Amino acid sequence: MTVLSWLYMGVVWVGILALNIFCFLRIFRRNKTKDDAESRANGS
Amino acid sequence: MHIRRADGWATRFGLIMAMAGNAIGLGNFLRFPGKAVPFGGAFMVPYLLALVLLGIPLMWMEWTIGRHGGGYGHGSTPGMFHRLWRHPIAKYLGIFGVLLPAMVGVYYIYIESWSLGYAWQTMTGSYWGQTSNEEMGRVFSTYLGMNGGFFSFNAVSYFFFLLTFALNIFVFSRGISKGIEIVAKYCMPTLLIIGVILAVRVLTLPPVEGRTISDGLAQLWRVDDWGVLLKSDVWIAAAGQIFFSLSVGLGMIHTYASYLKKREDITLSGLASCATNEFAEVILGGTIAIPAAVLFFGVAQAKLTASAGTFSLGFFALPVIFQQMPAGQLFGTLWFLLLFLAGLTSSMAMFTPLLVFLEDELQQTQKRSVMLVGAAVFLMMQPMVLFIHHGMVDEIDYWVGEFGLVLFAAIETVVFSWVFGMTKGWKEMHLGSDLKIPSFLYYVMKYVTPTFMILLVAWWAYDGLIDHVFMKGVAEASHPYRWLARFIILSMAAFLVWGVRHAWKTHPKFFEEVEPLQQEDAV
Repeated sequence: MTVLSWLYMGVVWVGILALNIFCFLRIFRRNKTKDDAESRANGS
Repeated sequence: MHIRRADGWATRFGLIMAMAGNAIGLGNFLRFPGKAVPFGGAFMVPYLLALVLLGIPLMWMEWTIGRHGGGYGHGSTPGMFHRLWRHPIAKYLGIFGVLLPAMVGVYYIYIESWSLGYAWQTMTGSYWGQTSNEEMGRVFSTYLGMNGGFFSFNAVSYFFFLLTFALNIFVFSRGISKGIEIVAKYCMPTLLIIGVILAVRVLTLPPVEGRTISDGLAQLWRVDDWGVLLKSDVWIAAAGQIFFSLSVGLGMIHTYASYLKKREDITLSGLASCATNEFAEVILGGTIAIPAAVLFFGVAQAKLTASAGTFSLGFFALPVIFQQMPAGQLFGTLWFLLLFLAGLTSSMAMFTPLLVFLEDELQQTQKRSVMLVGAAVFLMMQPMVLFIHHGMVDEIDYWVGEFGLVLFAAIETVVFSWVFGMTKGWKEMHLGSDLKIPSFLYYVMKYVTPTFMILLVAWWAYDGLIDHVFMKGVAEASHPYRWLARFIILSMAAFLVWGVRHAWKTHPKFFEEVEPLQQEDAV
Protein backbone atom coordinates (compact mmCIF):
# COMPACT_ATOMS: atom_id res chain seq x y z
CA MET A 1 0.00 0.00 0.00
CA THR A 2 1.32 3.40 -0.91
CA VAL A 3 0.70 6.48 1.23
CA LEU A 4 -1.92 7.60 -1.29
CA SER A 5 -3.65 4.20 -1.10
CA TRP A 6 -3.86 4.43 2.70
CA LEU A 7 -5.22 7.96 2.34
CA TYR A 8 -7.77 6.81 -0.27
CA MET A 9 -8.93 3.94 1.94
CA GLY A 10 -9.01 6.23 4.99
CA VAL A 11 -11.15 8.86 3.24
CA VAL A 12 -13.71 6.26 2.08
CA TRP A 13 -13.80 4.56 5.50
CA VAL A 14 -14.19 7.89 7.33
CA GLY A 15 -16.93 8.90 4.88
CA ILE A 16 -18.89 5.70 5.52
CA LEU A 17 -18.41 5.88 9.27
CA ALA A 18 -19.39 9.57 9.30
CA LEU A 19 -22.57 8.77 7.35
CA ASN A 20 -23.45 6.06 9.90
CA ILE A 21 -22.80 8.38 12.84
CA PHE A 22 -24.78 11.20 11.20
CA CYS A 23 -27.81 8.99 10.53
CA PHE A 24 -27.97 7.15 13.85
CA LEU A 25 -27.25 10.26 15.98
CA ARG A 26 -30.01 12.09 14.18
CA ILE A 27 -32.42 9.20 14.61
CA PHE A 28 -31.53 8.85 18.28
CA ARG A 29 -31.99 12.59 18.93
CA ARG A 30 -35.23 12.66 16.95
CA ASN A 31 -36.63 9.69 18.88
CA LYS A 32 -35.63 11.30 22.15
CA THR A 33 -37.36 14.56 21.19
CA LYS A 34 -40.52 12.65 20.22
CA ASP A 35 -40.44 10.62 23.46
CA ASP A 36 -40.01 13.80 25.54
CA ALA A 37 -42.90 15.49 23.71
CA GLU A 38 -45.11 12.42 24.25
CA SER A 39 -44.32 12.22 27.96
CA ARG A 40 -44.98 15.97 28.34
CA ALA A 41 -48.33 15.54 26.54
CA ASN A 42 -49.24 12.58 28.75
CA GLY A 43 -48.27 14.47 31.90
CA SER A 44 -50.34 17.56 31.12
CA MET B 1 -63.53 -2.37 2.92
CA HIS B 2 -60.54 -4.66 3.21
CA ILE B 3 -58.98 -4.31 6.64
CA ARG B 4 -55.27 -4.90 6.75
CA ARG B 5 -53.97 -7.23 9.44
CA ALA B 6 -52.76 -5.53 12.58
CA ASP B 7 -49.03 -5.91 12.18
CA GLY B 8 -46.19 -3.48 11.65
CA TRP B 9 -42.84 -2.29 12.93
CA ALA B 10 -42.76 -1.99 16.69
CA THR B 11 -39.63 0.20 16.75
CA ARG B 12 -37.70 2.37 14.32
CA PHE B 13 -34.45 0.58 15.23
CA GLY B 14 -36.10 -2.74 14.35
CA LEU B 15 -37.21 -1.38 10.98
CA ILE B 16 -33.71 -0.09 10.12
CA MET B 17 -32.06 -3.32 11.24
CA ALA B 18 -34.53 -5.38 9.18
CA MET B 19 -33.98 -3.20 6.11
CA ALA B 20 -30.18 -3.31 6.61
CA GLY B 21 -30.40 -7.06 7.21
CA ASN B 22 -32.36 -7.44 3.99
CA ALA B 23 -29.50 -5.67 2.18
CA ILE B 24 -26.56 -7.26 3.99
CA GLY B 25 -26.15 -10.75 2.62
CA LEU B 26 -23.53 -13.22 1.46
CA GLY B 27 -22.72 -10.80 -1.38
CA ASN B 28 -21.31 -8.19 0.99
CA PHE B 29 -18.59 -10.54 2.21
CA LEU B 30 -18.01 -12.76 -0.84
CA ARG B 31 -19.25 -11.03 -4.01
CA PHE B 32 -17.98 -7.51 -3.32
CA PRO B 33 -14.27 -8.40 -2.91
CA GLY B 34 -14.48 -10.72 -5.92
CA LYS B 35 -15.86 -7.92 -8.10
CA ALA B 36 -13.47 -5.22 -6.84
CA VAL B 37 -10.14 -7.07 -7.00
CA PRO B 38 -9.82 -7.35 -10.81
CA PHE B 39 -10.00 -3.55 -11.12
CA GLY B 40 -8.01 -2.58 -7.99
CA GLY B 41 -8.66 0.72 -6.20
CA ALA B 42 -10.19 2.30 -9.32
CA PHE B 43 -13.30 0.14 -8.76
CA MET B 44 -14.36 2.27 -5.82
CA VAL B 45 -14.90 5.36 -8.04
CA PRO B 46 -17.74 3.89 -10.15
CA TYR B 47 -18.92 1.96 -7.09
CA LEU B 48 -19.42 5.13 -5.03
CA LEU B 49 -20.89 7.02 -7.98
CA ALA B 50 -23.36 4.17 -8.59
CA LEU B 51 -24.23 4.24 -4.91
CA VAL B 52 -25.10 7.96 -5.00
CA LEU B 53 -26.69 8.13 -8.48
CA LEU B 54 -28.44 4.75 -8.62
CA GLY B 55 -28.49 2.82 -5.37
CA ILE B 56 -29.61 5.44 -2.85
CA PRO B 57 -32.17 7.11 -5.19
CA LEU B 58 -33.64 3.70 -6.07
CA MET B 59 -33.75 2.74 -2.43
CA TRP B 60 -35.66 5.94 -1.55
CA MET B 61 -38.04 5.34 -4.46
CA GLU B 62 -38.76 1.81 -3.25
CA TRP B 63 -39.40 2.97 0.32
CA THR B 64 -41.77 5.62 -1.07
CA ILE B 65 -43.62 3.22 -3.40
CA GLY B 66 -43.96 0.78 -0.49
CA ARG B 67 -45.30 3.29 2.04
CA HIS B 68 -47.62 4.85 -0.55
CA GLY B 69 -49.05 1.46 -1.57
CA GLY B 70 -49.26 0.35 2.06
CA GLY B 71 -51.46 3.38 2.70
CA TYR B 72 -54.07 1.77 0.44
CA GLY B 73 -53.66 -1.65 2.08
CA HIS B 74 -51.27 -3.14 -0.51
CA GLY B 75 -48.20 -4.98 0.77
CA SER B 76 -46.86 -6.15 -2.58
CA THR B 77 -45.95 -4.43 -5.83
CA PRO B 78 -48.94 -5.40 -8.07
CA GLY B 79 -51.25 -3.30 -5.88
CA MET B 80 -48.60 -0.64 -5.32
CA PHE B 81 -47.99 -0.15 -9.04
CA HIS B 82 -51.77 0.00 -9.60
CA ARG B 83 -51.88 2.95 -7.18
CA LEU B 84 -49.01 4.71 -8.97
CA TRP B 85 -50.32 4.22 -12.49
CA ARG B 86 -54.00 3.64 -13.31
CA HIS B 87 -53.25 1.58 -16.38
CA PRO B 88 -54.36 -2.07 -16.72
CA ILE B 89 -50.78 -3.16 -17.33
CA ALA B 90 -49.37 -1.56 -14.15
CA LYS B 91 -50.51 -4.34 -11.83
CA TYR B 92 -48.97 -6.96 -14.11
CA LEU B 93 -45.64 -5.12 -14.16
CA GLY B 94 -45.76 -5.25 -10.38
CA ILE B 95 -45.71 -9.05 -10.51
CA PHE B 96 -41.91 -8.88 -10.84
CA GLY B 97 -41.70 -7.59 -7.27
CA VAL B 98 -43.27 -10.83 -5.98
CA LEU B 99 -41.78 -13.26 -8.48
CA LEU B 100 -38.13 -12.18 -8.24
CA PRO B 101 -37.60 -12.35 -4.46
CA ALA B 102 -39.52 -15.64 -4.18
CA MET B 103 -37.46 -17.25 -6.93
CA VAL B 104 -34.18 -15.94 -5.50
CA GLY B 105 -35.27 -17.34 -2.14
CA VAL B 106 -35.78 -20.78 -3.71
CA TYR B 107 -32.02 -21.23 -4.14
CA TYR B 108 -30.71 -18.66 -1.65
CA ILE B 109 -31.91 -20.64 1.38
CA TYR B 110 -29.98 -23.68 0.15
CA ILE B 111 -26.80 -21.60 -0.19
CA GLU B 112 -27.45 -20.06 3.22
CA SER B 113 -27.68 -23.56 4.70
CA TRP B 114 -24.14 -24.32 3.49
CA SER B 115 -22.87 -21.59 5.82
CA LEU B 116 -24.65 -23.21 8.76
CA GLY B 117 -23.32 -26.63 7.77
CA TYR B 118 -19.78 -25.28 7.41
CA ALA B 119 -20.03 -23.47 10.77
CA TRP B 120 -20.82 -26.87 12.31
CA GLN B 121 -18.08 -28.65 10.37
CA THR B 122 -15.54 -25.99 11.35
CA MET B 123 -16.56 -26.14 15.00
CA THR B 124 -16.19 -29.92 15.05
CA GLY B 125 -13.05 -29.78 12.84
CA SER B 126 -14.44 -32.38 10.45
CA TYR B 127 -12.45 -31.11 7.43
CA TRP B 128 -9.31 -30.33 9.43
CA GLY B 129 -6.27 -31.70 7.64
CA GLN B 130 -7.47 -30.68 4.14
CA THR B 131 -4.93 -27.93 3.68
CA SER B 132 -5.10 -26.95 0.03
CA ASN B 133 -7.71 -25.26 -2.15
CA GLU B 134 -8.05 -28.43 -4.23
CA GLU B 135 -8.68 -30.58 -1.17
CA MET B 136 -11.23 -28.10 0.17
CA GLY B 137 -12.86 -28.09 -3.27
CA ARG B 138 -13.34 -31.86 -2.90
CA VAL B 139 -14.74 -31.37 0.63
CA PHE B 140 -17.24 -28.89 -0.85
CA SER B 141 -18.29 -31.26 -3.68
CA THR B 142 -18.74 -34.08 -1.18
CA TYR B 143 -20.75 -31.82 1.12
CA LEU B 144 -23.15 -31.07 -1.77
CA GLY B 145 -23.27 -34.75 -2.72
CA MET B 146 -21.78 -34.14 -6.17
CA ASN B 147 -20.12 -37.51 -6.62
CA GLY B 148 -21.02 -38.33 -10.21
CA GLY B 149 -24.41 -39.88 -9.39
CA PHE B 150 -27.80 -38.96 -10.85
CA PHE B 151 -28.73 -36.84 -7.82
CA SER B 152 -26.53 -34.46 -5.85
CA PHE B 153 -27.50 -35.56 -2.37
CA ASN B 154 -25.75 -35.68 0.98
CA ALA B 155 -27.73 -36.40 4.15
CA VAL B 156 -25.70 -33.92 6.23
CA SER B 157 -26.16 -31.00 3.84
CA TYR B 158 -29.84 -31.92 3.41
CA PHE B 159 -30.28 -31.86 7.19
CA PHE B 160 -28.83 -28.34 7.40
CA PHE B 161 -31.01 -27.31 4.45
CA LEU B 162 -34.13 -28.55 6.26
CA LEU B 163 -33.06 -26.77 9.44
CA THR B 164 -32.48 -23.48 7.59
CA PHE B 165 -35.74 -23.81 5.66
CA ALA B 166 -37.72 -24.49 8.85
CA LEU B 167 -36.09 -21.54 10.59
CA ASN B 168 -37.01 -19.20 7.72
CA ILE B 169 -40.62 -20.41 7.64
CA PHE B 170 -40.87 -20.08 11.41
CA VAL B 171 -39.57 -16.49 11.34
CA PHE B 172 -41.79 -15.15 8.58
CA SER B 173 -44.85 -17.06 9.80
CA ARG B 174 -44.67 -14.95 12.96
CA GLY B 175 -45.12 -11.79 10.92
CA ILE B 176 -43.26 -8.52 11.03
CA SER B 177 -43.12 -7.36 14.64
CA LYS B 178 -42.96 -10.79 16.30
CA GLY B 179 -40.79 -12.54 13.72
CA ILE B 180 -38.69 -10.55 11.27
CA GLU B 181 -38.17 -7.54 13.53
CA ILE B 182 -37.09 -9.58 16.56
CA VAL B 183 -34.62 -11.64 14.51
CA ALA B 184 -33.21 -8.50 12.86
CA LYS B 185 -32.84 -6.67 16.18
CA TYR B 186 -30.68 -9.44 17.64
CA CYS B 187 -29.00 -10.93 14.57
CA MET B 188 -27.85 -7.70 12.94
CA PRO B 189 -25.83 -6.34 15.90
CA THR B 190 -24.42 -9.88 16.41
CA LEU B 191 -23.43 -10.03 12.74
CA LEU B 192 -21.72 -6.64 12.92
CA ILE B 193 -19.86 -7.55 16.11
CA ILE B 194 -18.63 -10.84 14.57
CA GLY B 195 -17.59 -8.90 11.45
CA VAL B 196 -15.58 -6.41 13.51
CA ILE B 197 -13.89 -9.24 15.48
CA LEU B 198 -12.89 -10.98 12.23
CA ALA B 199 -11.71 -7.75 10.60
CA VAL B 200 -9.54 -6.87 13.62
CA ARG B 201 -8.13 -10.44 13.63
CA VAL B 202 -7.21 -10.21 9.94
CA LEU B 203 -5.71 -6.71 10.29
CA THR B 204 -3.50 -7.86 13.18
CA LEU B 205 -2.19 -11.03 11.50
CA PRO B 206 1.64 -11.21 11.44
CA PRO B 207 3.52 -11.32 8.10
CA VAL B 208 3.61 -14.66 6.24
CA GLU B 209 6.68 -15.38 4.04
CA GLY B 210 7.40 -11.66 3.74
CA ARG B 211 3.81 -10.74 2.82
CA THR B 212 1.93 -8.33 5.08
CA ILE B 213 -1.74 -7.52 5.46
CA SER B 214 -1.20 -4.22 3.63
CA ASP B 215 -0.33 -6.25 0.51
CA GLY B 216 -3.85 -7.69 0.76
CA LEU B 217 -5.52 -4.33 1.31
CA ALA B 218 -3.60 -2.98 -1.69
CA GLN B 219 -5.59 -5.30 -3.98
CA LEU B 220 -8.69 -3.32 -3.14
CA TRP B 221 -7.30 0.15 -2.58
CA ARG B 222 -4.13 0.70 -4.65
CA VAL B 223 -4.77 2.27 -8.04
CA ASP B 224 -2.27 0.97 -10.59
CA ASP B 225 -4.14 2.15 -13.65
CA TRP B 226 -6.85 4.79 -13.74
CA GLY B 227 -7.31 3.81 -17.39
CA VAL B 228 -9.63 0.96 -16.37
CA LEU B 229 -12.29 3.62 -15.79
CA LEU B 230 -12.47 4.08 -19.55
CA LYS B 231 -13.75 0.52 -19.95
CA SER B 232 -17.44 -0.30 -19.61
CA ASP B 233 -16.75 -3.50 -17.60
CA VAL B 234 -15.85 -1.70 -14.41
CA TRP B 235 -18.96 0.53 -14.53
CA ILE B 236 -21.29 -2.42 -15.16
CA ALA B 237 -19.63 -4.48 -12.42
CA ALA B 238 -19.90 -1.58 -9.95
CA ALA B 239 -23.53 -0.80 -10.80
CA GLY B 240 -24.42 -4.51 -10.59
CA GLN B 241 -22.74 -4.81 -7.21
CA ILE B 242 -24.69 -1.83 -5.86
CA PHE B 243 -27.97 -3.47 -6.94
CA PHE B 244 -27.17 -6.82 -5.38
CA SER B 245 -25.76 -5.22 -2.29
CA LEU B 246 -28.66 -2.88 -1.52
CA SER B 247 -31.24 -5.49 -2.60
CA VAL B 248 -32.98 -2.92 -4.78
CA GLY B 249 -35.02 -4.03 -7.80
CA LEU B 250 -36.40 -7.05 -5.98
CA GLY B 251 -39.60 -5.98 -4.25
CA MET B 252 -38.60 -6.74 -0.68
CA ILE B 253 -38.00 -3.14 0.40
CA HIS B 254 -41.49 -2.24 -0.88
CA THR B 255 -43.14 -4.85 1.32
CA TYR B 256 -41.21 -3.85 4.46
CA ALA B 257 -41.99 -0.17 3.79
CA SER B 258 -45.69 -0.90 3.28
CA TYR B 259 -45.99 -1.37 7.04
CA LEU B 260 -44.99 2.26 7.69
CA LYS B 261 -47.50 4.88 8.64
CA LYS B 262 -48.28 7.66 6.20
CA ARG B 263 -46.16 10.27 7.98
CA GLU B 264 -43.42 8.01 9.24
CA ASP B 265 -39.95 9.06 8.06
CA ILE B 266 -38.40 7.17 5.18
CA THR B 267 -35.55 9.40 4.04
CA LEU B 268 -33.39 9.20 7.16
CA SER B 269 -34.29 5.59 8.02
CA GLY B 270 -33.56 4.53 4.44
CA LEU B 271 -30.21 6.31 4.41
CA ALA B 272 -29.32 4.72 7.77
CA SER B 273 -30.00 1.23 6.39
CA CYS B 274 -27.82 2.03 3.34
CA ALA B 275 -25.02 3.36 5.56
CA THR B 276 -25.10 0.17 7.65
CA ASN B 277 -24.92 -1.90 4.48
CA GLU B 278 -21.90 0.07 3.21
CA PHE B 279 -20.15 -0.38 6.56
CA ALA B 280 -20.65 -4.13 6.30
CA GLU B 281 -19.62 -4.28 2.65
CA VAL B 282 -16.73 -1.86 2.19
CA ILE B 283 -15.19 -1.82 5.66
CA LEU B 284 -15.87 -5.38 6.86
CA GLY B 285 -16.30 -7.20 3.53
CA GLY B 286 -13.23 -5.51 2.07
CA THR B 287 -11.06 -6.33 5.06
CA ILE B 288 -11.65 -10.02 5.72
CA ALA B 289 -11.52 -12.40 2.75
CA ILE B 290 -9.13 -10.87 0.20
CA PRO B 291 -6.46 -9.48 2.60
CA ALA B 292 -6.35 -12.85 4.41
CA ALA B 293 -6.14 -14.78 1.12
CA VAL B 294 -3.29 -12.57 -0.17
CA LEU B 295 -1.41 -12.92 3.12
CA PHE B 296 -1.50 -16.73 3.10
CA PHE B 297 -1.49 -17.55 -0.64
CA GLY B 298 0.12 -14.55 -2.33
CA VAL B 299 -1.38 -12.06 -4.77
CA ALA B 300 -1.58 -14.31 -7.85
CA GLN B 301 -3.28 -17.23 -6.09
CA ALA B 302 -5.68 -14.94 -4.20
CA LYS B 303 -6.72 -13.23 -7.46
CA LEU B 304 -7.20 -16.60 -9.11
CA THR B 305 -9.36 -17.80 -6.22
CA ALA B 306 -11.44 -14.61 -6.27
CA SER B 307 -11.98 -14.86 -10.03
CA ALA B 308 -12.96 -18.55 -9.77
CA GLY B 309 -16.30 -17.57 -8.24
CA THR B 310 -17.97 -16.33 -5.11
CA PHE B 311 -17.83 -19.61 -3.23
CA SER B 312 -14.21 -20.54 -3.88
CA LEU B 313 -13.09 -17.63 -1.73
CA GLY B 314 -15.43 -18.29 1.18
CA PHE B 315 -15.69 -22.08 1.16
CA PHE B 316 -12.31 -23.22 -0.24
CA ALA B 317 -9.66 -20.60 0.51
CA LEU B 318 -10.72 -19.30 3.90
CA PRO B 319 -11.12 -22.76 5.52
CA VAL B 320 -7.52 -23.46 4.42
CA ILE B 321 -6.41 -20.18 6.03
CA PHE B 322 -8.29 -20.86 9.27
CA GLN B 323 -6.37 -24.11 9.61
CA GLN B 324 -3.11 -22.15 9.58
CA MET B 325 -4.23 -19.46 12.04
CA PRO B 326 -3.97 -19.61 15.84
CA ALA B 327 -7.50 -20.31 17.21
CA GLY B 328 -8.53 -20.95 13.61
CA GLN B 329 -11.45 -23.17 14.57
CA LEU B 330 -12.98 -20.34 16.58
CA PHE B 331 -12.48 -17.72 13.87
CA GLY B 332 -13.59 -20.14 11.15
CA THR B 333 -16.81 -20.89 13.03
CA LEU B 334 -17.40 -17.16 13.49
CA TRP B 335 -16.84 -16.58 9.75
CA PHE B 336 -19.46 -19.13 8.71
CA LEU B 337 -21.85 -17.91 11.42
CA LEU B 338 -21.40 -14.41 10.02
CA LEU B 339 -22.32 -15.66 6.55
CA PHE B 340 -25.29 -17.58 7.94
CA LEU B 341 -26.67 -14.56 9.81
CA ALA B 342 -26.14 -12.38 6.73
CA GLY B 343 -28.04 -14.98 4.70
CA LEU B 344 -30.85 -15.40 7.21
CA THR B 345 -31.58 -11.68 7.57
CA SER B 346 -31.86 -11.48 3.76
CA SER B 347 -33.76 -14.69 3.06
CA MET B 348 -36.48 -14.05 5.65
CA ALA B 349 -37.47 -11.04 3.52
CA MET B 350 -37.63 -12.97 0.26
CA PHE B 351 -40.94 -14.77 0.70
CA THR B 352 -42.64 -11.92 2.54
CA PRO B 353 -43.91 -10.22 -0.69
CA LEU B 354 -45.50 -13.51 -1.85
CA LEU B 355 -46.98 -14.13 1.58
CA VAL B 356 -48.38 -10.62 1.76
CA PHE B 357 -49.68 -10.88 -1.84
CA LEU B 358 -51.73 -13.92 -0.80
CA GLU B 359 -52.98 -12.16 2.32
CA ASP B 360 -53.71 -8.70 0.93
CA GLU B 361 -54.69 -9.21 -2.70
CA LEU B 362 -56.03 -12.78 -2.61
CA GLN B 363 -57.44 -12.26 0.90
CA GLN B 364 -56.19 -15.53 2.35
CA THR B 365 -55.67 -15.98 6.08
CA GLN B 366 -52.12 -15.71 7.40
CA LYS B 367 -52.05 -19.37 8.44
CA ARG B 368 -53.24 -20.56 5.04
CA SER B 369 -50.80 -18.25 3.24
CA VAL B 370 -47.85 -19.53 5.26
CA MET B 371 -48.84 -23.14 4.56
CA LEU B 372 -49.26 -22.49 0.84
CA VAL B 373 -45.98 -20.60 0.50
CA GLY B 374 -44.10 -23.13 2.63
CA ALA B 375 -45.36 -26.14 0.66
CA ALA B 376 -44.86 -24.55 -2.78
CA VAL B 377 -41.39 -23.24 -1.99
CA PHE B 378 -40.28 -26.55 -0.46
CA LEU B 379 -41.33 -28.39 -3.62
CA MET B 380 -39.57 -25.91 -5.89
CA MET B 381 -36.39 -26.20 -3.82
CA GLN B 382 -36.01 -29.95 -4.33
CA PRO B 383 -34.71 -29.80 -7.93
CA MET B 384 -32.28 -27.04 -6.85
CA VAL B 385 -30.82 -29.35 -4.22
CA LEU B 386 -30.89 -32.58 -6.19
CA PHE B 387 -29.69 -31.27 -9.56
CA ILE B 388 -27.34 -28.51 -8.49
CA HIS B 389 -24.58 -30.17 -10.53
CA HIS B 390 -26.58 -29.41 -13.68
CA GLY B 391 -26.52 -25.67 -13.06
CA MET B 392 -30.17 -25.17 -12.06
CA VAL B 393 -29.18 -22.56 -9.49
CA ASP B 394 -27.09 -20.68 -12.10
CA GLU B 395 -30.03 -20.70 -14.52
CA ILE B 396 -32.50 -19.25 -12.03
CA ASP B 397 -29.89 -16.82 -10.72
CA TYR B 398 -29.33 -15.38 -14.20
CA TRP B 399 -33.01 -14.89 -15.02
CA VAL B 400 -34.24 -13.56 -11.69
CA GLY B 401 -31.14 -12.46 -9.74
CA GLU B 402 -29.43 -10.65 -12.61
CA PHE B 403 -31.56 -9.87 -15.67
CA GLY B 404 -34.92 -9.73 -13.88
CA LEU B 405 -33.57 -7.52 -11.15
CA VAL B 406 -32.17 -4.90 -13.53
CA LEU B 407 -35.34 -5.04 -15.66
CA PHE B 408 -37.66 -4.54 -12.69
CA ALA B 409 -35.50 -1.71 -11.32
CA ALA B 410 -35.72 0.01 -14.73
CA ILE B 411 -39.51 -0.46 -14.83
CA GLU B 412 -40.05 0.94 -11.36
CA THR B 413 -37.84 4.00 -11.90
CA VAL B 414 -39.72 4.83 -15.10
CA VAL B 415 -43.12 4.27 -13.45
CA PHE B 416 -42.16 6.31 -10.38
CA SER B 417 -40.21 9.18 -11.96
CA TRP B 418 -41.95 9.60 -15.29
CA VAL B 419 -45.45 8.14 -14.96
CA PHE B 420 -46.37 8.87 -11.35
CA GLY B 421 -44.25 12.00 -11.72
CA MET B 422 -41.20 13.15 -9.84
CA THR B 423 -42.96 16.22 -8.40
CA LYS B 424 -45.58 14.02 -6.74
CA GLY B 425 -42.96 11.41 -5.89
CA TRP B 426 -40.68 13.96 -4.23
CA LYS B 427 -43.58 15.30 -2.15
CA GLU B 428 -44.63 11.79 -1.15
CA MET B 429 -41.02 10.92 -0.23
CA HIS B 430 -40.79 13.90 2.12
CA LEU B 431 -44.04 13.29 4.02
CA GLY B 432 -43.00 13.28 7.69
CA SER B 433 -39.32 13.13 6.72
CA ASP B 434 -36.55 13.69 9.23
CA LEU B 435 -34.07 14.48 6.47
CA LYS B 436 -34.44 16.84 3.52
CA ILE B 437 -32.88 15.18 0.49
CA PRO B 438 -30.46 17.52 -1.36
CA SER B 439 -32.26 19.13 -4.32
CA PHE B 440 -29.79 17.89 -6.94
CA LEU B 441 -31.02 14.35 -6.24
CA TYR B 442 -34.47 15.40 -7.48
CA TYR B 443 -32.96 15.84 -10.94
CA VAL B 444 -30.88 12.70 -10.54
CA MET B 445 -34.05 10.70 -9.78
CA LYS B 446 -35.98 12.39 -12.56
CA TYR B 447 -33.43 12.07 -15.36
CA VAL B 448 -30.24 10.20 -14.47
CA THR B 449 -31.53 7.11 -12.65
CA PRO B 450 -34.25 6.08 -15.16
CA THR B 451 -32.02 6.80 -18.18
CA PHE B 452 -29.11 4.89 -16.70
CA MET B 453 -31.40 2.00 -15.85
CA ILE B 454 -32.76 1.78 -19.39
CA LEU B 455 -29.19 1.80 -20.75
CA LEU B 456 -28.22 -0.89 -18.24
CA VAL B 457 -31.09 -3.14 -19.37
CA ALA B 458 -30.07 -2.60 -22.99
CA TRP B 459 -26.47 -3.47 -22.17
CA TRP B 460 -27.51 -6.53 -20.17
CA ALA B 461 -29.66 -7.70 -23.09
CA TYR B 462 -26.81 -7.08 -25.54
CA ASP B 463 -24.21 -8.76 -23.35
CA GLY B 464 -25.18 -12.39 -23.26
CA LEU B 465 -29.00 -12.50 -23.27
CA ILE B 466 -29.13 -14.39 -26.57
CA ASP B 467 -26.36 -16.73 -25.41
CA HIS B 468 -28.33 -17.44 -22.25
CA VAL B 469 -31.58 -18.01 -24.14
CA PHE B 470 -29.91 -20.63 -26.33
CA MET B 471 -27.77 -22.00 -23.45
CA LYS B 472 -24.50 -21.36 -25.26
CA GLY B 473 -21.63 -23.13 -23.54
CA VAL B 474 -23.94 -25.31 -21.42
CA ALA B 475 -23.34 -29.07 -21.58
CA GLU B 476 -26.00 -30.88 -23.62
CA ALA B 477 -26.78 -33.18 -20.67
CA SER B 478 -27.73 -30.18 -18.52
CA HIS B 479 -30.23 -28.67 -20.99
CA PRO B 480 -33.33 -30.51 -19.65
CA TYR B 481 -32.50 -29.36 -16.11
CA ARG B 482 -32.03 -25.77 -17.25
CA TRP B 483 -35.43 -26.01 -18.96
CA LEU B 484 -36.89 -27.32 -15.74
CA ALA B 485 -35.53 -24.23 -13.97
CA ARG B 486 -37.22 -22.01 -16.58
CA PHE B 487 -40.44 -23.99 -16.23
CA ILE B 488 -40.41 -23.35 -12.46
CA ILE B 489 -39.99 -19.60 -12.98
CA LEU B 490 -42.72 -19.49 -15.63
CA SER B 491 -45.10 -21.55 -13.47
CA MET B 492 -44.70 -19.11 -10.61
CA ALA B 493 -45.16 -16.17 -13.01
CA ALA B 494 -48.32 -17.80 -14.42
CA PHE B 495 -49.72 -18.27 -10.93
CA LEU B 496 -49.10 -14.61 -10.13
CA VAL B 497 -50.75 -13.45 -13.38
CA TRP B 498 -53.77 -15.59 -12.48
CA GLY B 499 -53.67 -14.21 -8.92
CA VAL B 500 -53.73 -10.61 -10.10
CA ARG B 501 -56.55 -11.25 -12.57
CA HIS B 502 -58.52 -13.13 -9.93
CA ALA B 503 -58.04 -10.47 -7.27
CA TRP B 504 -59.03 -7.56 -9.49
CA LYS B 505 -62.06 -9.49 -10.73
CA THR B 506 -63.41 -10.86 -7.45
CA HIS B 507 -63.09 -7.79 -5.21
CA PRO B 508 -62.62 -4.80 -7.52
CA LYS B 509 -63.82 -2.32 -4.93
CA PHE B 510 -60.65 -2.85 -2.89
CA PHE B 511 -58.67 -1.57 -5.85
CA GLU B 512 -60.95 1.36 -6.52
CA GLU B 513 -60.63 3.07 -3.14
CA VAL B 514 -59.71 6.65 -3.85
CA GLU B 515 -58.65 7.76 -0.42
CA PRO B 516 -55.79 5.98 1.31
CA LEU B 517 -56.62 4.05 4.45
CA GLN B 518 -55.92 5.86 7.69
CA GLN B 519 -52.92 3.76 8.57
CA GLU B 520 -52.39 5.51 11.86
CA ASP B 521 -55.52 3.67 12.95
CA ALA B 522 -55.17 0.57 10.86
CA VAL B 523 -51.66 -0.51 11.83
